Amino acid sequence: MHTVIPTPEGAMTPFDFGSLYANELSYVWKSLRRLGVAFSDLDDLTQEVFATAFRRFDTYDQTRPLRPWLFGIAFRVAGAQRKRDKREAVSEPPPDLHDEGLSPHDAAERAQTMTRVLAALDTLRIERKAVFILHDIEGQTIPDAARVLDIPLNTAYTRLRAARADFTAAFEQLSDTDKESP
Amino acid sequence: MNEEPPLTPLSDAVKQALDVERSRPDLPAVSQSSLKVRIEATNDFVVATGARVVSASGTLRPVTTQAFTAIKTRAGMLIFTAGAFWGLIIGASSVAMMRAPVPLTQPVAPAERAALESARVSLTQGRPADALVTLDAHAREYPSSALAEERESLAIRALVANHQRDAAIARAAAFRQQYPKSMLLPAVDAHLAAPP
Repeated sequence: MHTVIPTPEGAMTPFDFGSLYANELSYVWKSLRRLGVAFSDLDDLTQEVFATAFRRFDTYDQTRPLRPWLFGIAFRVAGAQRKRDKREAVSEPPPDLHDEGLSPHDAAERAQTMTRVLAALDTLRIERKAVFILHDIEGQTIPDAARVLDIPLNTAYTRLRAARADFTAAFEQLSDTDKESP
Repeated sequence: MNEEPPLTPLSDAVKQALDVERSRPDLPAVSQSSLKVRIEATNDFVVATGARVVSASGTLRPVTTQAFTAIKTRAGMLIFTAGAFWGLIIGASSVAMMRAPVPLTQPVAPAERAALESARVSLTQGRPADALVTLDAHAREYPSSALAEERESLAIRALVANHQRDAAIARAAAFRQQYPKSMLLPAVDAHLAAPP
């Protein structure tokens, strides 16, 4: 589902942006987390993504889906953040699955899987991770991923191939470790 | 579109895990609304005052020109207290910090934007030489444009596409110096790393 924001002649008002925040906050927040932004920095960087989106809204091609465009911004913001000083990490609470109608056992298992997926993602280089998230988690096409990341199509394929190998290796290793120390 | 190169399929275990990750719950409504208020307030402030927005100590906040000067002064004092070697390093990054914030509301004439878009179109249609002509004209006409950063990144991409690799590398070095915190840097690096 994508937000349609009426912007005659590219005009942009805070009002238009209201619906954008409402619909895409969670998406941006989750994308940044998947890209490896520390839990303690998520709110700040989510704000930074929207500030950038606000500033560069005229570069958004409205014939294209909004989320990959936002993801492209999130990718750049997360990449820039890694080069800055890191603040002390705040430990992350596991995802809250209480309202999903699951048994406590299933909820715990799903929460553990999500934590493991993030841990495996954390081992990937961010350029590879970005293509992997867009294609293998979000289901975007590879050409769309290449477009929003501003990379050649072949580069996107190369990165996805490498990312799949890296992710699989890391995920299997994490699963084995968890089994050994229950 | 070329035929897609083959990709190794993901194992079932990984696929299942990614299905679970896809169902990650949204942010709690409370966090969403407080964050939304914060973002809206910042952007409203930017629109109302034309203030700049900078990330200072990890927190994004709007600053007035006065506060911005104070930040610069503090960065300057840091250089004095640091040793000579670190002074150089920190000095370089402080200069970067002073330059990094982009005025969010500096007006951009439609023609200015249109010229860049036309260069982008030339580039995607495989006419990098045309793109370079447009971009050079843009640089002459709007030397201190708010879009200069974007223009330079396009120019680097066009130079690579036009097989002017050395020129691209030189321009990228200048870009890195001028915009050390640019969000376009990863893209610039990617263009330079792309096979010719």
